[in-house]
Amino acid sequence: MTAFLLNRLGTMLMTMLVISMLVFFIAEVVPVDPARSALGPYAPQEAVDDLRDRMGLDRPAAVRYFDWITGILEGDFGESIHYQRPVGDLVAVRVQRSLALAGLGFVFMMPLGLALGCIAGITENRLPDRIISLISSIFVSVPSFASGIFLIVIFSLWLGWFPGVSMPDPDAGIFDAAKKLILPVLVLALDEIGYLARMTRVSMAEVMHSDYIRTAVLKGISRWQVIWRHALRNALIAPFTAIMLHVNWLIGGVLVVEVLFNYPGLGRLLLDAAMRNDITLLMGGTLVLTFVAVATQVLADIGLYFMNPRIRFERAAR
Amino acid sequence: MTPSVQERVLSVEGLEVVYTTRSGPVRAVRDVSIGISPGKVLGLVGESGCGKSTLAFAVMKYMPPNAKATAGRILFRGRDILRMSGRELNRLRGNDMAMVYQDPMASLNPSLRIGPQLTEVLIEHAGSGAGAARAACLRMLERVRMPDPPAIMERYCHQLSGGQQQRVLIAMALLTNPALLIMDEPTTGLDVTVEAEILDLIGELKRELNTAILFISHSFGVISRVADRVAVMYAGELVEQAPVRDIFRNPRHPYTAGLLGCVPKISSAGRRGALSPIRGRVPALHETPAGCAFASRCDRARDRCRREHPGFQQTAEGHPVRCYYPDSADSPGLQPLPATPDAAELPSAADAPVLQIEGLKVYYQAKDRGLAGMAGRHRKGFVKAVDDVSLAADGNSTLGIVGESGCGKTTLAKCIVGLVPPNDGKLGFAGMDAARIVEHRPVATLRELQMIFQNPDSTLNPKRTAGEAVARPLQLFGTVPSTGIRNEVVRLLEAVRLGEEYYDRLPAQLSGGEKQRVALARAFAGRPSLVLCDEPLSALDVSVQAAIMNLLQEFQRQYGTTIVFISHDLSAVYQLCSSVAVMYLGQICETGPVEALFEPPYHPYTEALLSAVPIPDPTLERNDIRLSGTVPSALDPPTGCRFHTRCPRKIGPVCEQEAPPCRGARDGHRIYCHIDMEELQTVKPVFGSVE
Repeated sequence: MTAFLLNRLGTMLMTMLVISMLVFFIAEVVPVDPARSALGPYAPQEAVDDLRDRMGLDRPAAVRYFDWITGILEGDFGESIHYQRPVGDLVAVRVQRSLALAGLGFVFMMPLGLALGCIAGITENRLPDRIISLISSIFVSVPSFASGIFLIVIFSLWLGWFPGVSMPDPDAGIFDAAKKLILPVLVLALDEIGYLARMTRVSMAEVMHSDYIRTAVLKGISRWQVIWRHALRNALIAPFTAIMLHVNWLIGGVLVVEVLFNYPGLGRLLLDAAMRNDITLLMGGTLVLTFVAVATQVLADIGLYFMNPRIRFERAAR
Repeated sequence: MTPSVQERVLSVEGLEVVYTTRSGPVRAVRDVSIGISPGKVLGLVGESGCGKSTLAFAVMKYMPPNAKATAGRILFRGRDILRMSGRELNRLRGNDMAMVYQDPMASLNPSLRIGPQLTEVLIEHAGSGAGAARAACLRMLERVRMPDPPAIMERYCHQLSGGQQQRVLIAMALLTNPALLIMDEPTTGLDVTVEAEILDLIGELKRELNTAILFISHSFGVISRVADRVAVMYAGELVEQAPVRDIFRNPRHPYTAGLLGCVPKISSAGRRGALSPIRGRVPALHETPAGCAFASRCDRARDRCRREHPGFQQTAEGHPVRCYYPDSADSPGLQPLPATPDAAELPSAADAPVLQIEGLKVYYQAKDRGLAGMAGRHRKGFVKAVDDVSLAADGNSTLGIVGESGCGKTTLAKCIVGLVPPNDGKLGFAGMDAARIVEHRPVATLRELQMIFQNPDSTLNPKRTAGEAVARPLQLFGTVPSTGIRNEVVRLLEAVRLGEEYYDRLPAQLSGGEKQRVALARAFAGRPSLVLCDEPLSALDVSVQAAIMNLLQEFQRQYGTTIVFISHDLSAVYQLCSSVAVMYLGQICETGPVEALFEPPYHPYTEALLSAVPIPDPTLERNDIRLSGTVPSALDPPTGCRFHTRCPRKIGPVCEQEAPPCRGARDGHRIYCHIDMEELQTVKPVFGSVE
């Protein structure tokens, strides 16, 4: 058990190290001079050179990478060129907002997607399955920027139930904040629900056709017990893995939704940073984003380890 | 007299089951009537696709949504199962009637421990509390002779061996002491030694519990061991039903006789003869022929058979046969092979061996996937899959390699064809050194050495036609000029009795037997001097097995090919091979000419294997030797003689401490055992009738 955890964490550290190198060296080959972009196109060359000197940009790349990475390990992501504020502070606020959005989307899609998928899988080829499969196909095939616009048109412009913009207001009450988040969360969750439902449907249908479900049925226990005790856990292994792999997809979806609803999350921040050539901010933000992605994979692996005894014991046997 | 309906636990009357498919209704079971009394076993035999399993599941009223019982009744203690509600069925299933399945691994829930899977039956049906249920389950596991029941309850099914899984399923079925037990091929896929134990167990339970058992199997050997009566099913119909002795002694239906003729028998004197397979295959049931369903494959069929559908004829007391001409039926048995004129030109077996293996070792490293393993520390040692094996196969002969699963026979085969490199030892092939992997072998070696695999379904490329598959080696090795390839392919397809019309068919359009024929034609296309067959028969029906064995012998006669035949089926080995090597845990424990191997002196392991072989003869008396436990791990094999942990003839500490010496007998017969030859010589023969 501890060996397994150590193994996963070790792998994660290695991955992060490699990613940090990639991020750093990609930023390195981009033909952007951070000092020049900080001072603007009309600043005199001496001022730029002076800033380059202060930023230490003339030192070898390896040395600067080492500085950057040790800084990050101490919590210092450097300073944003555009905002002139520590990257760490900027990113921290935005990450919280984005995670709130993604988290809500996740909480919304998980039970819905799994439940719809299970119902469809159990009633394979019958009416409930047909309806659910149709709906989830629609959800999957409409891209989120399109479904976002539809929802804004219907619920915000036409019915006027929810606002079309989600700029958080620090003074607003919980109800008000929730009202603002409903549409973005819905947009974020819709195609994920469709995907998850389809995935779960296939897995559940396969389990329902398996020999051990036949064994359970012919034990004479009720259909409800067959599903609850024998089918559910086995049917959820595959979609669970898929969800966790899809968390990254969700993060990508967050970016689209943030732009669409003008929600100030990490996605918007990164987009702005990229447009303003704010290299330090871009690097720090990307690293945090990839960390979130990699960490969810590790969590997924650990979750799976507890769900599927075959993995657990194969490891123990070795 | 036949017992009345009331006495019978199960009585199926005129049952018909129809599947609705896209290509029309399929009448998978037609007009089937059977009955079983308490304490009796009805064996149900037939090729795959004859409706055996459909019948078995219909008895439990477990049918796929597109299947329906359209006629007849299934009476369980006088009540019609087909009319029961779901609630009534649930009270019966698992309680009064229970089932044991073919694939035990797949039939147990992979994510639940064995304990709850067992106890839930009692909690549901007997209303037991958790504690009482657990105690009863422990007793039942003990009863089916499971070692350490409390530990088993805590395990998951993938932590049990195949035999243990099947025992768990049997225990599960017996927990509520059901009146009817349905067993659907319960020993298929298990090793002979395990199969023998399970069959013993079934016999015991039948006597003790007075259960009525419907036992389905495709193997006559297994049926003869457990059944009281036998029903033969063909194309959805029963064609013959009789007490077990009559079926084997006096089969009346030509299909029954034909099936029996396909089975190689160890005790029969005509070993060198060819088997007589049934031609053709089970008809698809989309349209039922007007006459007898078997007429197209029957040698005895006359006009009447093709016109009218035969009903049952009572040939003797309790022996109905669905045939117009039941009396002319006599088992075709073994027929002598026609003499081939060019046989004299072939190299005789006395020539230099084609394949020579000396001290061959193949070790796999057991991997540790943890961080420590990555860092290169914490080696867990080696799996000694093949450990110091020496063998030779002469030209134009057949060498059989037998042993339980996990004994290293497949690894040995992989090493010979060059899929895994040997760690040590010599591998000589036709005078060349062949101890390297396949990519590094010269084309000449590749041509001379071909392989036929166990599973024909996954061996052929699904996107290539049968003709292309056979043509490939011809192109690659230039066996015939490129203009003659098509003719040669057709000739080969005809040689395996497929014919030109199969040239453009894809594997998906072929049956399992036809695929294996294509694989056979492909392997022999380049006229290799050695063909390795890794369990080529185990996925096939008996009638197809016989045909494949005959083809192997034919090709061998024609080309003088040496065949290495790996199998767990000792009857097939007896039928085909000229010499045999018995493997246990990566080592050879006995080797010699086939005649010498099947009679004393035996290695104790060979003796146990032989006594486990199911022989299709219900009158046969054998002194049954059963091995306890499972094959130990090859990661940490026992010291001394590797067989000592299970050996019924272990003589003392010497077996645990020293490697057994080689004891030679006549004709290159070698036995590796501490017991001396004189004593081994005195062992009673397993098959009394072997000459």
